[in-house]
Amino acid sequence: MIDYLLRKLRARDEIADLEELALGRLAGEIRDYPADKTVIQEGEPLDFSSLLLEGMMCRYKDLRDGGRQISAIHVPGDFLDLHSFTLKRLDHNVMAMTRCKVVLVPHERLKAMTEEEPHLTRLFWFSTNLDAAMHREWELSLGRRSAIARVAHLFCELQARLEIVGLAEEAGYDFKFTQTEIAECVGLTSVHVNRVLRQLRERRLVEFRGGRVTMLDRAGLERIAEFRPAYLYLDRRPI
Amino acid sequence: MPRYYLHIQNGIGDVRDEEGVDLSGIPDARERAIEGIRSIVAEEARDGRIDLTGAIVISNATGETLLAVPFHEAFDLRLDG
Repeated sequence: MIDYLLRKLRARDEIADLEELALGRLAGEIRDYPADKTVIQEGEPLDFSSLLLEGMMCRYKDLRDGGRQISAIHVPGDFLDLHSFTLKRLDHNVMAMTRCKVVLVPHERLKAMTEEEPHLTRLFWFSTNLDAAMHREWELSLGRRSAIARVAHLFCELQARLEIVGLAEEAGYDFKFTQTEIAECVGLTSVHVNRVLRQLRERRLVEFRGGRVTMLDRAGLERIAEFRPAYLYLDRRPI
Repeated sequence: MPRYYLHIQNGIGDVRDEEGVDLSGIPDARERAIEGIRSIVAEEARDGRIDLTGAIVISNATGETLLAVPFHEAFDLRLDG
């Protein structure tokens, strides 16, 4: 059940067999959600964190006029809200973008883990630090990158993150988002995203069609995005 | 809600909207078109170029054209003074 989490962590550090068992013991109730379902509301009290097992989810915030900003995308192996362990409620919503399966990890069990498993505790700390690093990179996109570079960067990031958990091939990956949802990630309108997607296709860099991202020229796409994967901390080192 | 398709037509070429978006009606679709035009032109303006010669053509699921929104309709233009 925690295979994707293990792949994500083992890309960064060694996990001993006993630690793998300890991670397995964190798992509580399993929940399935349909696409487009908001699964955690801003402000609701939480006594568990959720680990994504299947599908894609996002963090988002809304304005009164209907404007929505997606601030992060989650792939299998990601905790949606490891930060709710210390915050006890969220300052954002969490939504299933596709059909999803999650496993709940009661905060009590996380607390016990912090007392018994210092190395796993550091890895979970790393994990929330990694979330923050990704938020910083998205800030750079929203504040400074051009429209085409924002979309290109999003595609590059997901390719790298999905590769870690074995859900992307060299050629690309499944990405069941609409243009409107991509627009909500990159702070553009769906009309504008549509035009950017055409530009990316015409330049033979990447194609997004039918819920699939197809890499045509990955190096070229990374160049236009100024994608520097260092912020994903993909190297293995003792934590 | 009916589905609307917002196709861009301008100097760079036509961009077909193959996905569409579910909206309450034509006024809502026009609003989306206006937002889209502003977003595209604002981006181009950053590079020092404003081209208002295009339009967004709104069609329904059967491909019927419902409305064309010229780019210049998205702006209150003042060029002198």
